[in-house]
Amino acid sequence: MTPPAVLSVAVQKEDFSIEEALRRLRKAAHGAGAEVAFVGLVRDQAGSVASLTLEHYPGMSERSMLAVCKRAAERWPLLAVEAIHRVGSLGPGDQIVLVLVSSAHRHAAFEGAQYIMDAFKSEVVFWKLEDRAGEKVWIEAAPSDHRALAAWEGASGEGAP
Amino acid sequence: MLEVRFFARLREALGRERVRLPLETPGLTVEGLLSALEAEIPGSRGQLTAPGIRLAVNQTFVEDENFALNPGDEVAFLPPVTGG
Repeated sequence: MTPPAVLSVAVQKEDFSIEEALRRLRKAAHGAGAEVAFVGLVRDQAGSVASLTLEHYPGMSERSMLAVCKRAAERWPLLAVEAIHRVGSLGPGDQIVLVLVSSAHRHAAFEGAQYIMDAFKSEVVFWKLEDRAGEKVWIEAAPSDHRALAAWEGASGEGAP
Repeated sequence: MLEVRFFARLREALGRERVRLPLETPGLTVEGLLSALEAEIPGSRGQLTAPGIRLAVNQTFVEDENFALNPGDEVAFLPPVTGG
């Protein structure tokens, strides 16, 4: 029997260190044979995004991240998940989100990490205000983000979609 | 008391981050809440019932229009979310 996955989520203004997070993940996961790390960055679309401001709802944002990680751990035999989401004002190239997943084998780790990110795109409680050369625009999840999550929900078990 | 919070573009559209409404007895409906908010912030009803706006009570999404609100509840109106 796989013990329950150790899930850790955090919302913070400060930047994160992937190495430090990986050390915590490794400490939490016993019997891991695979670790997958995903880092999301503020994309510089040909210099059009000057800054991105991320807003959250303290408490509910963390809860929404944890709910996604729990669903992933119910679906795949994950040993540990560490997710960090930044808030506040970020610039092109800055790190926004970190998802680390460990499992005994690579497929569960890859798929668990991909599922968590797909669900983060349209389900976690954050808002993004983009500053495009002085024009401020609230951005929403793209139709492709919703489709990516729906594909997981339509598929069943490991190996999906 | 009932604390109502607004986030992101709703906060900007309403010009308010939070509103405290007097509520002494349990059982305020969502409709009752919208009416009380309209009295406090004229024009808010249209913003709060726009497509994509979701209601959270005590940090949990509520879809049920017949949901009853109680004194001390924290209510929030959330525009479409996105993370990652």
